[in-house]
Amino acid sequence: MSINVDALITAMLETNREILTEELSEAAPYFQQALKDESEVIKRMIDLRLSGKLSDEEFISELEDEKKVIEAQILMAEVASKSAVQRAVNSSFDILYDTVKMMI
Amino acid sequence: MKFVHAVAISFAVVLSSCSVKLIADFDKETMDAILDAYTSVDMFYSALLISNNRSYDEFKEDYIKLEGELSRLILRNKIRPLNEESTGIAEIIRDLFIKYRKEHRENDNYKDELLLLHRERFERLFTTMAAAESFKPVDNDELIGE
Repeated sequence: MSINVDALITAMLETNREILTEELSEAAPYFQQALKDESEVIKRMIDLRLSGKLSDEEFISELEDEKKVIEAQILMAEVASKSAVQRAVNSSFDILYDTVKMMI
Repeated sequence: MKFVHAVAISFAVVLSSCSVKLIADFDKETMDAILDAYTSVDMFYSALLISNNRSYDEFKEDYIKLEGELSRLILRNKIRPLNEESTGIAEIIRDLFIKYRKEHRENDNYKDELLLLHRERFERLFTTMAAAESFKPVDNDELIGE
C-alpha cells in the first residue's frame, strides 16, 4: 500500500486552515470588545483632562497605564495564536499518523 | 517489503508520541484564582469609593493583603511551563496595583475620577487574564482522569 502524498498534504493543510479559522474567530469578539472599551476609556480621559478633573501629570500617567493594558491584551493575543497553531499542527500530525497506521 | 513495513511501524511510533506543545494547558485552579483576585480587588475599590475617609492608613492593611494575593497569582503562573504570557499579564496587574498604592500613600487621598478609572482598568486587565486562560488548550487526558 502506498501513500497519496498530494492528498495527504491537502488534507493536512485543510485541517490547519479550518482549525486556525475556528480558533481565531472564537477570539475575535474579545479583541473587538477590547478595542471598543479602549477607545471609550481614552475619550473619557480626554474629557476629564479638558474639564480640569485630571491634571496634566495625572492624564499622562493614566495614558501610560493604558499602554500597559494594551500590552496585556497583546500577551493574551499571543496565547490565542499559540493555542490555535498548537491545535492545528497536532491535528495535521494526527492525519499523518492515521495515514501511516493504515499502511501497516 | 519487510523493510518498508518496519520503517512504517517506526514512523508511526514516532508520530504517535509526537505532539507540538507551545502553550500551557488550561488550568481551572488558576482560573478560579484569577476570579478570586478580581473579586478582592473590585471589593477593595468599592470600599474605597463609598468611604468618607480615604486616608492611606485606613486601607493600608487591605493593600498588604491584596498585594500578597496578586504576588501569589504571579507565582502560580510562573511555575507552569510555557506560561510566560499569563505571568506577564499578572505582573502588569500587580505593578499597577503597587503604583496606585504608592500614589495613594503620597497624596493620602484618592480622587473619585482616578478611583473609577483604576477600578475599570483592573476589570479589563482581569478580563484579559481570564480570556488568556480560557484560550489555552484543554488537556484531554486530565478530563478523562476526572
